[in-house]
Amino acid sequence: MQPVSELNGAEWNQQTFKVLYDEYYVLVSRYCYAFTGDYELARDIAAELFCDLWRQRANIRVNTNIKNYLLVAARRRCKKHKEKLPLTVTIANDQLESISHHTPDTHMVQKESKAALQQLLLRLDPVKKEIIDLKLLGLTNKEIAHLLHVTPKKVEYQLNTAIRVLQDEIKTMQLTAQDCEIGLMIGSLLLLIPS
Amino acid sequence: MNANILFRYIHELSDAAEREMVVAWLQESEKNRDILAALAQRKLSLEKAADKDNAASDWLKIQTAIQEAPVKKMFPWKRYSAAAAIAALLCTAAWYSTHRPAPVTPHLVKLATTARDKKRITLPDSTEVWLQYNSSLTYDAATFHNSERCVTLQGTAFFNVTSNAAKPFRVQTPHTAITVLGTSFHINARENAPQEIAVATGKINVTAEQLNINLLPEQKITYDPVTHKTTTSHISLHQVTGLRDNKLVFENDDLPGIAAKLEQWYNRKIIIRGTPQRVSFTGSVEDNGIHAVLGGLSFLAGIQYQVTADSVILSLHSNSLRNNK
Repeated sequence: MQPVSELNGAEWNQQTFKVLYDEYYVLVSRYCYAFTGDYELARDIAAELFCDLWRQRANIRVNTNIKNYLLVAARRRCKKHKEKLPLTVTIANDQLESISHHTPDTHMVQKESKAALQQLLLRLDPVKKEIIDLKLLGLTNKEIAHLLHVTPKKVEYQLNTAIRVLQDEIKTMQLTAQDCEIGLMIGSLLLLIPS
Repeated sequence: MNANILFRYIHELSDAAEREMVVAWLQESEKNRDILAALAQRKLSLEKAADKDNAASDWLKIQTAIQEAPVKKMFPWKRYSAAAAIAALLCTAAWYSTHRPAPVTPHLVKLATTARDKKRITLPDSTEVWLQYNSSLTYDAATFHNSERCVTLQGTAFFNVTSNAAKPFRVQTPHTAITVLGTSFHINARENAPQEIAVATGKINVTAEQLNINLLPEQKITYDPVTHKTTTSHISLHQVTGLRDNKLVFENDDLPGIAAKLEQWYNRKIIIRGTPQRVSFTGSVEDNGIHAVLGGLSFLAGIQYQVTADSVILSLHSNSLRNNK
């Protein structure tokens, strides 16, 4: 279902390029964030990617599909950045800055629990973590499988294992009584939202 | 807990049964709630990375970066001394005197439609173009504002040209050239088919091999590029503007007439099954897709239809067949 103009870079013009940009810029930025854990850097990488895409359009032939092509390119760029500076620490810190809409009292305790929850996902191995991130970005198992060069079955297996691992992790995390309470609070809050 | 069901729940895609399963799972234990909370939180922070507004503001940055690209290449020149720069200038001047000046790099903008979509385009001079299925419009953005406004059309379109007496508007089609100052008109210019041009308002000039004619409102010209045969005829205003108004207009059309109009409108092959009956249909149908139109027509004019991959088959209703006999 991809229009031909997207597959053959030489045929792009500003209009078709803008359509492409509108469709995928947000997704690419978010995916870059999943890797870098830095909002500004993520968008810089994404913007740079689209700039280069335009400049080198004459040489671009996409044989698979454009979404996969862009995500692979984003992934490669993020890996390159990651080699330059390790960012694992900033991920946890960055999470804490997210603004809370609750009352000031709960804000403090939430900060702690949020850090704990975030730690939880960091305990997964990088492959599982990436699959979860991609899944949260709304990709289908098939798309993830294509991107990571594995079978869709493997993706599903990894996801199911990830959940089991997380359940085991919590057991060993030895949460304090306070943490448990907060977890309960958030859990019940989340329960209320969809209903 | 099946991961797929859990993620569907997070994306708010689950049905009632799945939701029930997730809720049960959450009530099962504390740690399950933690997992969901952690995932939901991660989703939020991922989504915070960028949204539509960011995309819009970053687009401006990207656009300037793209346009600066050729300038960047010239930076190394700055490092050369003034003398070298002057020498370079002299060389260029010498080159200019022997060669004709280098043309402005063309910046072609191509707008095209497929068999499924139509487009409404506004050109840089605020001329409006309604581009029909399977058509394309090309213009050179670098020279568009020069003495003539030139566009190239393949297919069918309706133009509403912004008036500018100093800069004539010229449409080049595979077989004809149309020059106007500020009017609205309809062009049907497909390869291997008679070219049709009809005027809604103003005056236009049409030139082609063995043809140079001025057309006035509600006039239509049909030009055969092979035999160079031309016929002019009268056409009602709402037939000309049908494309702009997104309406197929029929006036006392029999089945072959309806088929011809559909064929032109959708640029698809229309086949008539059986002997054409004496039907006559007057009216207009809004284009909400070929199925909706054929559905409407089949009801109004008593036609049966069948759409295949590249053609449409029309036949009369069996009961109206009987009536006509």
